Amino acid sequence: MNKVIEAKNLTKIYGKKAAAFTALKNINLSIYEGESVAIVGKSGSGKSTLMHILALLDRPTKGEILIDGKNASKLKNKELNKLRNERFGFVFQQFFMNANDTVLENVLLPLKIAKLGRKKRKKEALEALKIVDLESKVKNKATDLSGGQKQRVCIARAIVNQPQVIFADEPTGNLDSATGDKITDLLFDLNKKHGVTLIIVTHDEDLAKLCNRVVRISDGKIISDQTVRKDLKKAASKKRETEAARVKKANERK
Amino acid sequence: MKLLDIITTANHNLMRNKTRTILTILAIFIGSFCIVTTSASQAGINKFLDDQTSAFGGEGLIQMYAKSDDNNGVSAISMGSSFTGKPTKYTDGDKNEMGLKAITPEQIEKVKEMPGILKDTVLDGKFSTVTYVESTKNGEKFTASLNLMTNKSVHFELLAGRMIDNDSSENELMLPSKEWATDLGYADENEAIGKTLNFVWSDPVTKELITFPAKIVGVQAPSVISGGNVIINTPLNLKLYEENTKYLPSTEKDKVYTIAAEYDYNKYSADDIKSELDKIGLYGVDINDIMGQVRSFFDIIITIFTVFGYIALLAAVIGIVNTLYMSVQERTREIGLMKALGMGRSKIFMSFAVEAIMLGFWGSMLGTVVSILIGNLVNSSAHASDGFMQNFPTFNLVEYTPATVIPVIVTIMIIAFIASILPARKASKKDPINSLRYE
Repeated sequence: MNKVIEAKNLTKIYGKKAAAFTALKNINLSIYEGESVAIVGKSGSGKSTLMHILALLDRPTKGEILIDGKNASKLKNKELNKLRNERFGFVFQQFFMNANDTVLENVLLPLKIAKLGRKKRKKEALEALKIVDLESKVKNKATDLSGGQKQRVCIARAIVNQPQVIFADEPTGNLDSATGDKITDLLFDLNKKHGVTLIIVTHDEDLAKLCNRVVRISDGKIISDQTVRKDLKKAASKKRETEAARVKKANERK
Repeated sequence: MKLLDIITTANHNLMRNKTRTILTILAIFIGSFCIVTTSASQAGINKFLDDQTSAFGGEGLIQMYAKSDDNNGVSAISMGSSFTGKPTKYTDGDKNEMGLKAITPEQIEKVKEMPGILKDTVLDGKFSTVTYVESTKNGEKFTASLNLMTNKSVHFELLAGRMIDNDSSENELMLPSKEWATDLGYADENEAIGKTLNFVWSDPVTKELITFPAKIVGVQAPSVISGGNVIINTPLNLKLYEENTKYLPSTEKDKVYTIAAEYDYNKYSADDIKSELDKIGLYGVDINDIMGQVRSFFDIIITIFTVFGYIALLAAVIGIVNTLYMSVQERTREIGLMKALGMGRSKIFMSFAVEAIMLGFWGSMLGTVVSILIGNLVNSSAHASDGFMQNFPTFNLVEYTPATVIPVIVTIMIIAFIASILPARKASKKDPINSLRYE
């Protein structure tokens, strides 16, 4: 199985000298293609920091990150931005939508950044909105939506660029349990049907249980790493199909 | 992000906070309005003065008078003698004398040999004067100062008819203004064309009144320099001169009061020539003596207004900086998101810089459009029959050309960009994670 992201001896220290605070200590972690990984820990455990470093939003103080076997710590900012734009999708607890823009505008933002043409990005954004079942809200303003709808828009935004990995930071944290379940279903659907690798940061044990791997963090260290179910093969084969589609799409864009 | 996307997004962002955007644009508008208006009036005035300059003969032409104790020569140029273009009625007994000292033949020879002076262009003015001119239509008499048209001064603004022809054998003249035409008894300037005007003078020896007819071929637009002068062609001048002096002894007859010459203005300044002339007892007058004062007066006014415009713009720049800082602050999370989604630093910088440039663009466009509207209104009301510029129909108070307007707009856009550098840098340097956590 392919390693999508590999972390080697990650250490992250915030601040300097006396005020220095070690958020992560010597973390070694490999994320495989098609996995759904929950990173679980209390607040302040370092789980968010780990996710940020894995998602190339932050650089580690020591250690390296390999993306598809390539060392990302040696890449320039520009290349990191490109990698993040093409390979990763993000779902945040607080949604982070441009409130005054339409649903469509919000969804196609990553494609705009990727310099895709007007027609193409609209077409792909509509496809993404179809997957999250929000085609009817295309022209609505983001503010007019309910919490669950907002998170579905964010998922559409996260998948619009056909990412390899989706990072979800407490995706159900701001939602009631019923809408939270719908969002969870949607995310795991993407994982199972489309083979997208899922990395969920959460303190919600129920959500963590749904993942096939649970990584527990405490005080900046991994205290347990359990693979719960072994239905990865199926997901991986699915992933290969979508990967082929992704490459094809990427070629079309060029 | 593509450039076009950045521009449309910037416009979109400006529209998100309409009140703030409009207020900032208004501040820029005030500054740009001042600057566009002053530069347009500068252009208008310069064009006017240039027209006047070419009427005089332009660069490289110098007129010379003999120096005397009570007369420095300037009075010989009838500058603005009749700024309004209205003729003065002649009453019997009025004199019309130049009061000039004669230039000696030796002085003329010295001028011809002077370095810088183009020898062949030296023109010894046998200058005619008349006691009055008389209308053949209503018999009214008016005092008149006569002037010649040198070959260099080909550009006279005309209201009707044509230029006088120095090579013609006819006696031709141009009236100074349309008021002349009406006061001579004609319905308008067009009716005066082709009519006859009588030149009348009393012979210096016999004191007998002599009348000499000449044809009106053109009517001038009023001008600062030739204002009030009846321009006559060379043959007419020579004939008048002959008639005027026929009973004089030959020593008096050949007296010359003014000479004109061209000089090589690429190599010599007017001041060089003047100091040379001074050595031989002549006084030189060139275009800048007349235009210089007028120009420097207008230049001071223009400079004051331009400075005010830029001060207003400086205030507007602070407005832009403030607006953008607020915008960066408000959109911290949005910036964080964009960065997380892969937008680079330079693009973040650009999107804020473009916002400022758009503010500059809209503000200066608004300033320009309003300035043009008001300027045209002022121009047409000034030229109306009771307007203060009615005597200068060819003079636009404000002159808008792409060459005056576009540099102002571009400058303001550049200033707006400079104003955006600090806030845009702040935005581009934001850390995505901290920005997303910003409350």
